Amino acid sequence: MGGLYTRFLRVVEENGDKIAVAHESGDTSYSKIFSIALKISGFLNCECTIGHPVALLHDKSAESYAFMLAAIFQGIPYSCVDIKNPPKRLGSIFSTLSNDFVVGPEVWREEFNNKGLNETVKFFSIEEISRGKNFEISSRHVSENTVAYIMFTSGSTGNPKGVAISHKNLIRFIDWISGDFQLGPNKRLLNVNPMYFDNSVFDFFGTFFTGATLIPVDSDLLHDFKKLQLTILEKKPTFWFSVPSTLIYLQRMKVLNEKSLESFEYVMFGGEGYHESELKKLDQILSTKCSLVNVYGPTECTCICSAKFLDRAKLYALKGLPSLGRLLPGFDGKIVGMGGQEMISGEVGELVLFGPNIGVGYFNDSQRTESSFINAKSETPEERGYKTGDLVRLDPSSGEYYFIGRADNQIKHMGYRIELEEIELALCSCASIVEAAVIYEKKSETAGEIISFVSSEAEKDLSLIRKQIENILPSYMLPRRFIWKHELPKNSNGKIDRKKLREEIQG
Amino acid sequence: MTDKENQVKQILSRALRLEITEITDEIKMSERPEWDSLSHMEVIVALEEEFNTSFSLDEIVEMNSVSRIIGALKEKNCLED
Repeated sequence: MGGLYTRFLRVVEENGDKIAVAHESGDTSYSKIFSIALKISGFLNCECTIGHPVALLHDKSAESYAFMLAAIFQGIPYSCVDIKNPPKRLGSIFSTLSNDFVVGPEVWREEFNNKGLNETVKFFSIEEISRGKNFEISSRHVSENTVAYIMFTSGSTGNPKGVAISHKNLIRFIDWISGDFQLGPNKRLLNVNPMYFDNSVFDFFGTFFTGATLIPVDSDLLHDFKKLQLTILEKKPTFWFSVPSTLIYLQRMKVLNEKSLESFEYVMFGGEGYHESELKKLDQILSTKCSLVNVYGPTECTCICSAKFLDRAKLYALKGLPSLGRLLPGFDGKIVGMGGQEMISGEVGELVLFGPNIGVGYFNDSQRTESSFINAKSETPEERGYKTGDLVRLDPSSGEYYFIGRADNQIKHMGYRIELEEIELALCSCASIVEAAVIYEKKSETAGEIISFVSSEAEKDLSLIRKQIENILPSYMLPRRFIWKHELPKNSNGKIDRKKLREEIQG
Repeated sequence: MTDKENQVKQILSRALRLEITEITDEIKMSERPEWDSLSHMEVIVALEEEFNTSFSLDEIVEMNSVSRIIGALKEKNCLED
């Protein structure tokens, strides 16, 4: 089937006139997006070297998707970065990527320049580089082991880590999803997921490498309920993939109802658990022809690695969270205990994944790669593993996995993967803070709150602390509540007693 | 202020994490950072449960201030004693 470039060429040959991106500002055909990607390739060819990454502030325009394609053609790793990140976090990401320029829409130039990073990181407008000369892609060989993209996720040491995924990982991924989810021409995927968020990998590769159509939903449109509903009714998407939080939110706001969901053939969710009580409500408004799918997978293993097609007729009997399903062919899972020993079938332990979809590691971070990946450098894909930190149970009779919890302090909040230590470290970097602890308190089966406890000289410091961490953390990581204490409670080891803090909240 | 109007303000106070005294008729979604889209969802769900009613998409979009929320509930006869 060839590499990613060859595969995309074939899609363009077969679907040149078909719509690749159905944006609210207009449609872009496959021939057109290919021609934009060729112009951007010219720019990348001048500015970049193979293997050296580029950062993209993605606005979900046809040009931004074309940029990703161009980077893939050229064997240049791209990283989609959220412009809303505070300057310090953006700076940390750019420093990991060690790149000196960023590409984004012209309207974001000022916002980017205001972050004070423009002395070291130059801003190029996507509109400008899309208007360049047509570039002839030579037979430049891109090795399958080349990194295709770097996806940043929260890190417990305070700095986000960049998960690197190779062309080879993606080829396997595309082969799997295009078959199991019947992706191809005449299918329309709604791109609700932010591009700096792992779920978007499915939207992008599931569209452009199968000949389907992508319908972008940017963050403004997501919160403009009437316009969003109208977009769905007009464009008639067939495929939905998002975190459960987004589905629950839009169902409660009445954007999603029987009418607006009528065109969907698949509604797929993942990234966090979808509790049965809410899932049953969603099921009630889906058409009978629609498949409901629960998927699972860490960012480190190329988006998703297991799928469970739910039997909707038996949904009434579901208790708790639905099964994560079986691992996709090629993946192997081991369930290990605290000491690394393999658990007896049916017991709970940490899931360690093996196989060719395991990513390359954390970009420019061998230390964290070595601690989370097994045989990261092995040439034999079957030997390479990733310690997920997810506690699961395998049902021996069905071969399906069930999510039980986490082995560490990572949480999923509104679908975002957050290490609570990153928030604690951000708090501790505020000048007046003596100590800080963060807990996640589930308010219901579907919603939770990040609560921070801080001790400082005086309670009045709180308002300043709130302001300070807004400059360090992205908005979804900001604590909803700040509780001031003269001193935080300690356990017998002298460590902060989080159990006691939790009891205080619940009391 | 009737008991039921007071109930509305208590719901807003809980969802927006503001003191009940801060919930005045003049509060607007666009002017309060606490009243973001997620808090708005909390408000709508709590009102639907409390008053055993259901709002349409148009109503949800319109209910962006305390006075408009009270207006929408009055229209549904939810505030009658």
